[in-house]
Amino acid sequence: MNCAVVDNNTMIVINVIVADPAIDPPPDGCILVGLIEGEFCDIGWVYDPSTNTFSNPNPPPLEEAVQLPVEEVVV
Amino acid sequence: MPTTLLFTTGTTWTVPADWTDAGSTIRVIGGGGGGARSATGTARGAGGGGAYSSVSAIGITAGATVYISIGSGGAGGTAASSNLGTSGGDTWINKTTNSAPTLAADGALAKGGSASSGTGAGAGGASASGVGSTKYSGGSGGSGGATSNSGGAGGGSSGSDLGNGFAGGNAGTVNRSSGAGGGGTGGAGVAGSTTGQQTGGAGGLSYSGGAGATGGTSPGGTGSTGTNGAGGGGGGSCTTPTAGGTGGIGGAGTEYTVTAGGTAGSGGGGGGGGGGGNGAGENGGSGSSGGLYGGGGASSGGSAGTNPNGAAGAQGVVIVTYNPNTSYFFALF
Repeated sequence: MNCAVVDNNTMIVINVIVADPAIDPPPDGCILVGLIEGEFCDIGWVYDPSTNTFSNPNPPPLEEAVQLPVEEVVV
Repeated sequence: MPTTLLFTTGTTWTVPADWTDAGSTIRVIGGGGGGARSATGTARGAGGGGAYSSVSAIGITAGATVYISIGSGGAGGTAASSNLGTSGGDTWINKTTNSAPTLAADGALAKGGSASSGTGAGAGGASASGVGSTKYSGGSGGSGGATSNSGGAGGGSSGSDLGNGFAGGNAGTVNRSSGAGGGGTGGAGVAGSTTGQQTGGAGGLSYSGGAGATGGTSPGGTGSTGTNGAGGGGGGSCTTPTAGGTGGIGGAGTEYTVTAGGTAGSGGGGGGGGGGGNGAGENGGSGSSGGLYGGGGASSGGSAGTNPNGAAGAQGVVIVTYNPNTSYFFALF
C-alpha cells in the first residue's frame, strides 16, 4: 500500500512510498502512515496525528472560472 | 549467468549469501507523477516521469541489511483534490543508513515525477537532485489545453539507462480535439489535434525504438496500450452523443529479465483522454496511467459535461543485478 513517510519532528511528509507500515521499518527519524484508497497526500504536506489527516500548507490558487461556449439547440 | 532481483515494495533487503559485489549494478526509478482532472472544460497538464539513477559495485556485502524506499506513483486528480494530482515518490537504496543517500558511494536516489500545478506540465524527476554514478531525468508531462473542451495531455516517460525520459504530448488546442500520446522511453508523444473530431496522438517510441501505441479514432475510440516502454496512444475526440475516448496505458518496461520470472524496466507515459464538447453526451475522455515503472499519468479531456479524474503515475522500482558466487553454491555440498 502507499504510505506517507513523515518526519517525526516536523510532521512534514518527505516521501510517499510503497510499503506495509505493519511490517516495514520506516526510515530513521520518520514514521510510516498508510494511505487509504483515494486519500490524497503529497510531499511537503503536513500530517496531524491527532486526526490522522494530511493538509496542504500551500494550496494551489483557485483558478478563475471559464465561461464555456454554449451551442445553439434547435428544437 | 547474472542474477537480477526486482523490488517493488518494502523498506529493507537482506543481501543474499551468493552476492558478489564486483560487477554488480543497482538501478532505481522514481515514481511517476499523477495527471490532472480537467476542470471548467479545459484539459490540464499531465504528470512527469520518474528519474533514473544507477550505481555499480558500491561495496555491499553478503548478509548485510540494505535500506530501500520504493516511490509510489502519484495519484490522479479528482474533484476532491482541487483537480490536481500528486507527485510520484522518490526511490532510493542505501547500504549505510535508513535514509536517502547523499553520496553515490552509499547508494542511489531517483526523484519522482511531479504532478501538474494546473494547465502547466508536470516536471519529470530531476537528475540533478538524484544520487548515482549515472543519472537521467524523467520526461515532463504534456501541457494542458489552451481552450475549452480540449483533449488531455500525455504523461512523460521515466528515465532509463538510455538517457532522459521523453515528454508526453501537449493537450489538443480546440473544442473536440483529440488526446495526446504519452512519452515513450525512446521518443516523445504526439500532441493532441489542432482541429476537432480527430484521431488521438500516437505514443512515443519504445525502449528498443519500436513504434508507440496508436491513438484512438474519432468518435470516442480508445488509444492503444504501449509496449516495451512506449507511450500510450491518446483518446479519440468526441462527437455527439459519444464521449471522448480513453487514452492508452503507458507501456511497461521490459529491458531487464528478472531471475524470478518476467521482465521489468522503464515505463512509458499514459495517453491523454479525448476532448469533449458542449453537446449532450460529449464528455471528456479519461486519461490513462503511466507504465511500470515510473511512467507519468495523463490528464483527462475537457468538456462542458462530466470531467473524468486524472490518471495515476506508475510506482518506482529497485532493480539489482549481480554475478552469483558459484563457490558459495558448491560449498553447500
